[in-house]
Amino acid sequence: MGTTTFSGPIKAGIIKETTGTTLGDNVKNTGQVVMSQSIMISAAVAAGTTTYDVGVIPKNSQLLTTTIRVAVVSDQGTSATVSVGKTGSAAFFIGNTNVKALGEVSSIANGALDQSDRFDSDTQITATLIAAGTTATTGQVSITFTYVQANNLRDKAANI
Amino acid sequence: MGTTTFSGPIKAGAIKETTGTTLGSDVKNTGQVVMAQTFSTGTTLAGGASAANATTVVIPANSQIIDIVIDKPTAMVNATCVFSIGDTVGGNATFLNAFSITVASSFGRAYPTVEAGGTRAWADTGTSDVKLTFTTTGATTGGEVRATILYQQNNNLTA
Repeated sequence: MGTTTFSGPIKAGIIKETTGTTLGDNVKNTGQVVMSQSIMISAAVAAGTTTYDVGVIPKNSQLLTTTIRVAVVSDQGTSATVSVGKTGSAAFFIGNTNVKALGEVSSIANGALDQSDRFDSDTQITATLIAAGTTATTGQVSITFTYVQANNLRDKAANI
Repeated sequence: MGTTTFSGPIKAGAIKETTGTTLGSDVKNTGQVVMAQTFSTGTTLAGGASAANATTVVIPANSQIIDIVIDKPTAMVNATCVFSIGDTVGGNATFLNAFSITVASSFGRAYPTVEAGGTRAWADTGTSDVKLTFTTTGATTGGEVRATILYQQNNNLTA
């Protein structure tokens, strides 16, 4: 199947600009399309630390969610965890999460909230699998992040 | 209001392909538009338990379900509604398995987690389009559930 790609951001709404004060008539009502990027990881890997690129969030974007979903448990001998971070900080968004049990974690660490509101440069989102013990033969984890592209969030002036 | 329809998937991002290693310059930063479809139980819950009811929601092949959001515009009446979402081919609980919506939970919103014991098909809905169904148990005499399915179209997620 073909894919249609826009440079974006993509907005939708029938009133593009505010030219008056009447809602539904001349007050802007456009919203921005929510974007997402995902990867799936096979947790059947040898012991050690394995890093994956999830995708690049464009600069000036607002990160909405990050999710680790364990759909098939890892049978790694001792332990297996997945974290979500960025280049140079493996657990920036979500700390080490056990993937030897089914579950879903969808959150952003407190220390990452400020940057999540606005990335000042393109940033590589990463996932890191840390495994110990006998090599797993099964396990499946998906990593997803959603964001508003280049909305350049800044303090808004209060209503007068 | 007119509707603009694309065959999709729709992606956006200023850099379509990776041709180097410099973020912001030549490393792909496209993301995929999050899609959503919604169905309502309508008045079905007034009649208590119901077998698989076909909905108008069809998820395109090879899609990834990101989330299912449960809205209750009207609270359950008389009994807990045990709510499942399946599809016409894979079974009655492919995507959501026996999610309990109590009378006490009143109206409002709920987010099933860990796929609510479904068959964990969210990561990849399979190689064919799937038409969703809902099934309920419990002697409800009223209430309404709206289910919104958020998904990435045909991203064909593989390990």
